[in-house]
Amino acid sequence: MKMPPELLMRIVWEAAAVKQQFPGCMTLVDDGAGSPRWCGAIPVEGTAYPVTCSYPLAYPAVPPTLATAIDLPAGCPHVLGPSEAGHVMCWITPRATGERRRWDPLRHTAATALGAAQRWFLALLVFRVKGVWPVDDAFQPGVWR
Amino acid sequence: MKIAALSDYMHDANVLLVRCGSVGSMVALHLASAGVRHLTLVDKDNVESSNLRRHLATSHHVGQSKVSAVAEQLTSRFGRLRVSTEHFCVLSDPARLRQLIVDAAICLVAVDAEGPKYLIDRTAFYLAKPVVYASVYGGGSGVEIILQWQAQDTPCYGCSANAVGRSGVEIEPAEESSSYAVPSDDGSHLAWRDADLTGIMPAATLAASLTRSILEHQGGNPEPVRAFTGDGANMWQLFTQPSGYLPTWRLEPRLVVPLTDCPQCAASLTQQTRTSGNNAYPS
Repeated sequence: MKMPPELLMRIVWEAAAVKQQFPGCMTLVDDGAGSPRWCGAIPVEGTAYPVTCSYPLAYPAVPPTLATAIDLPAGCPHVLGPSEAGHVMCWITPRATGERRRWDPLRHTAATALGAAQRWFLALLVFRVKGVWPVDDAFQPGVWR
Repeated sequence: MKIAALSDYMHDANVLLVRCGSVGSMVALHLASAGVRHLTLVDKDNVESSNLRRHLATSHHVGQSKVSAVAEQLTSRFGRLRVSTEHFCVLSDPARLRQLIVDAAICLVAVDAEGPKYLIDRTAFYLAKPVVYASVYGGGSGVEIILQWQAQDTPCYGCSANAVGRSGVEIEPAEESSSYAVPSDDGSHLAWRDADLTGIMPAATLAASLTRSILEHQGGNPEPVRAFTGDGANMWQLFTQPSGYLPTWRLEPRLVVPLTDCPQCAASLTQQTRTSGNNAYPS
């Protein structure tokens, strides 16, 4: 399915935020199936990490999807599975009720997701050295946060 | 003669009703009894026995889809009513939802979860289709009706939700479907176990009345909508205040001002694209 015009308009509006927060880092490209996605590399501790930020058709009612093509260490947590864009990163808390932990279509953009990707890569750096993910699990069964 | 013409419009208009839960099924009943003859019902769920106390369905509908149960109940009462049923999850198939909005004169949303509301709002906003959002919260003690209608320059759903302190969407539907649109997490949703129709019927009545007014506006008579939106209101909150055996109600219309940085209200859409009715995809 082609992207509906209202979604394309939203993405155009978001482009300003992405360009401002990640100047020269991300490019809006066609994913090969007719949908736009942000593709590029974001800086973390002096290294550029490749990442893609894809828009689901139901966006912004659901958050964008982050994926990275880097090699991950065995047992790396906070990965949702493989995709054609690489490893899908777990970056948002399901069932969260707290205002700061929920996806907010009114305020958040792809730039918000890419900011979360930076923190995800930072956590990965720690995991590579210490073998421990330095952030609590996003979701613990039976506990809503 | 004029009244007959308006009635004809209302009879022919296709009303899209998203979610046929307790509020949605009662709204459908109100609309059908008001003379609407074409309803399109959308819901992904099946009827459970726990639904029956607050729902139009009966015990022999348990296990059936909610849309078919409500359709059966309505068509058995209103012989001239035409009901289309759509049994699917709107977040899983935005293209199908979009086509339903294109085909409808108005969209009425009785969804608990916030995510589908934003999706419907995004599409209807672009297509300049009016949307009425109906919710009950606090165990039935509160009712909230929101109107989003570009033709009346109302703010989007997100701005209205923000005005009453709600923000964000659920990433997955909550396990307890009775969580509703509770404005603050004060535990009042637990009251749903004991809730009756106290808030559901007023919510359905208000939402159906507003929907009928909009249909009359679309048919050429703007007066009924003005009765609702007189001072620019686009949200109506109904509060119940227990006082012995006779609860009292307080209706508060609200005028919501859109956020200056709202991606939907303040950004890219031009007035021309909003109102041109151009539903085609850009080349």
